[in-house]
Amino acid sequence: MTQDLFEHRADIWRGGNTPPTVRDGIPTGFDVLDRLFPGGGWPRGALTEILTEEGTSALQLLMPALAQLSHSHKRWITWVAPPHIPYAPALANGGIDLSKILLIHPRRNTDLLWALEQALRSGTCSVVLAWLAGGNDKILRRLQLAAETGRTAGLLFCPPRNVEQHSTAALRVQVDPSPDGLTVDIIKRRGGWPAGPVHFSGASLHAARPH
Amino acid sequence: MPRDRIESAQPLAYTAPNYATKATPAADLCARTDPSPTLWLAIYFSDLPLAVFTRKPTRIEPDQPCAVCQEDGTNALIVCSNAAALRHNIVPGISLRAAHSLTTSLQLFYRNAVAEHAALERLAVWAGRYTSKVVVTETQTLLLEIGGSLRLFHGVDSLLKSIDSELTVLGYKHRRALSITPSSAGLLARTQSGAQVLDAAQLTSAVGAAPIDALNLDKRYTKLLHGIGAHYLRDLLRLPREGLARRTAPHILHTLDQLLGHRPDPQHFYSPPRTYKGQLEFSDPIDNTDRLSPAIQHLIMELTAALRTACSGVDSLTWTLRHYALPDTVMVLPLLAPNRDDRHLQELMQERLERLILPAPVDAIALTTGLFQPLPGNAMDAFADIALQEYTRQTALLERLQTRLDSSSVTGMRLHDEHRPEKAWQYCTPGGTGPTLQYDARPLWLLSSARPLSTRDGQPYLHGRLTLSTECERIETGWWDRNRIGRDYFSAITVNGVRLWIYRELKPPRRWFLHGYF
Repeated sequence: MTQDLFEHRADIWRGGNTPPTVRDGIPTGFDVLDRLFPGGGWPRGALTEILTEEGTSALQLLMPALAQLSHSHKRWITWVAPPHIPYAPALANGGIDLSKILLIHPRRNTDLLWALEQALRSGTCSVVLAWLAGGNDKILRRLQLAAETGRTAGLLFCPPRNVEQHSTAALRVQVDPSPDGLTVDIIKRRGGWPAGPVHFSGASLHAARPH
Repeated sequence: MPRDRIESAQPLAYTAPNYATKATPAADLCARTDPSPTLWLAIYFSDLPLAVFTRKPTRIEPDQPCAVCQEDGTNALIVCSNAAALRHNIVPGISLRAAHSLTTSLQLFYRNAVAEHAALERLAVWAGRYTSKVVVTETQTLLLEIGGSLRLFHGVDSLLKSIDSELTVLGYKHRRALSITPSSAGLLARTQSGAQVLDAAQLTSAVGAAPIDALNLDKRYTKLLHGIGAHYLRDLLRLPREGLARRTAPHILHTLDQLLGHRPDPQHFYSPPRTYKGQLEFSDPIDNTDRLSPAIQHLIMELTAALRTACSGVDSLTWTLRHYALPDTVMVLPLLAPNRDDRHLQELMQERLERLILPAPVDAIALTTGLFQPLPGNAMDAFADIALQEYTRQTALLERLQTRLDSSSVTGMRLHDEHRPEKAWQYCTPGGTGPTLQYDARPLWLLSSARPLSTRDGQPYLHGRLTLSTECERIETGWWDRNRIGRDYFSAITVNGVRLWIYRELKPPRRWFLHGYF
């Protein structure tokens, strides 16, 4: 009975280091993250908060997943308010089909949140990446609902100072640069304790390829 | 005039007399299979002359007496009046002078035959959802041949119910009658609302009960017939045919025969236009965009009904808001793909409306479209349908975004064959493709303009000393236009471990720039 529940519900807290067994996440392309993340990857139909400083190569962690999604799905890979130009030659080198990319540059913050919610809710985006200066709990809850409705993975990049804020996101990770690569701290994951840090060298980031 | 229209018009009325020998209860009609019996539904729009001026959603107070008048020789006669006017005894047929003597608050309109015909044609388009055989008549009436549509709409009763409720939404008062010949259906709709004549025996008695005045004969003949004591059609039917023809005109016999189905009565079916043009006038100018919504909803409903009839979509909508003293406000709403989803179109327009500032009150709103377009996708294929739905939802998202954010804020990207890093890519329409190219190691982020770096001891510096890669990539190009560049690109790591893409100019003063983040 309990086993049954565990197998079919990802949102039951079970303590320890056992990740939930419902594997509906988007494979990250990194075995160590797939083991630690709820659902075995970037959560689908939910929000993930990535707390990171500008310039940190947190996007590298997403490249294998984005490359895979761009070929396996007809849906958009949507970027809302990226801080710089997502550089097409590097994305193409990383194996992403550029024709799936949708860039949205709203001019005002209200438009940003509106566009983000529309993209998450529409069910036509496999993943939505968004850069938020700050978001309160109410906004996140609304976005979480939109992501559930559209079965879309919402990846929100926020500044590290947001770490103190309460968040409804299914997964919160902090990504920091390290002398030869990145460290990833799992601050919150649905159904488990915080975990990490996990270290990635520059070489391992580039070696990762979609499954 | 297209030939097929005439040909298809022929056989209907010929079949009526054959059918007239059988008694078929209404409930059985939908159960019958091939061939579908001919059955005519006439819808008479009794207040059409008035409705073209006062139809919802313009606002006329319900207790404001309104009437339409028409020139008739030397004096003007009232042809249509609303309930409030009827309470003042202003009934159709009385003179304008008499009407003014009954109330001083009468709001009067002069009959607009052109607008009435246009309204009737729009209704014919709407009726196209029930049958492809619709006739627009000169007597404020639409004739619909619904014999072939009964099974689709689950029988007469549910079809009539649906028609009634939609006409209420559209804001028209109507009377209707069913009959086995087209002209008798029209006559009965005007005289015995709700009549359902399903066989020849019923037909004679039902037509007989109609007053002669309802035939709209020449006044001379009406007077003559009244003079010999014939007030109803049954009186007319009892008269000897030769005598009647000699005293009046042979065409009266002709009309009677067609009413009863003894003579063919070919009809000219309405064929809908391939564009849409609709306009609503406001008797009270509107100064608030919220109050425009019902009118917009209304026009979009008419448009999508027309599109369904034509099995097509439109790829742009042009809205014109007319002001009294200022030039019109024109809004063009482009769509990415031909569409006919009324909810989607309304949402798009709502987005626009929310940000619209009206320069002046609006007197009228008009909607026009270009030629109707075929809808994307092949609707014959059951599996393609799923792909089409996905496609439709994707374009729906884009349209919603582009309507609110403007189209330059919603883009795709593609590669561009060019060595200058800042030109090696381009924005494009979402979903667009470019060349396939391979590059050396490139950063994931490019700064929109390179940021100068400070130097210490000749070395670039950012939050501390930078560790530079040993190899560099020289990019020297663009001599053919004014943006010639010569740069040595390095990858660099800050003391915090952030990886940068930086370059040094080849020309003196050989400055350093930050150009991207890996």
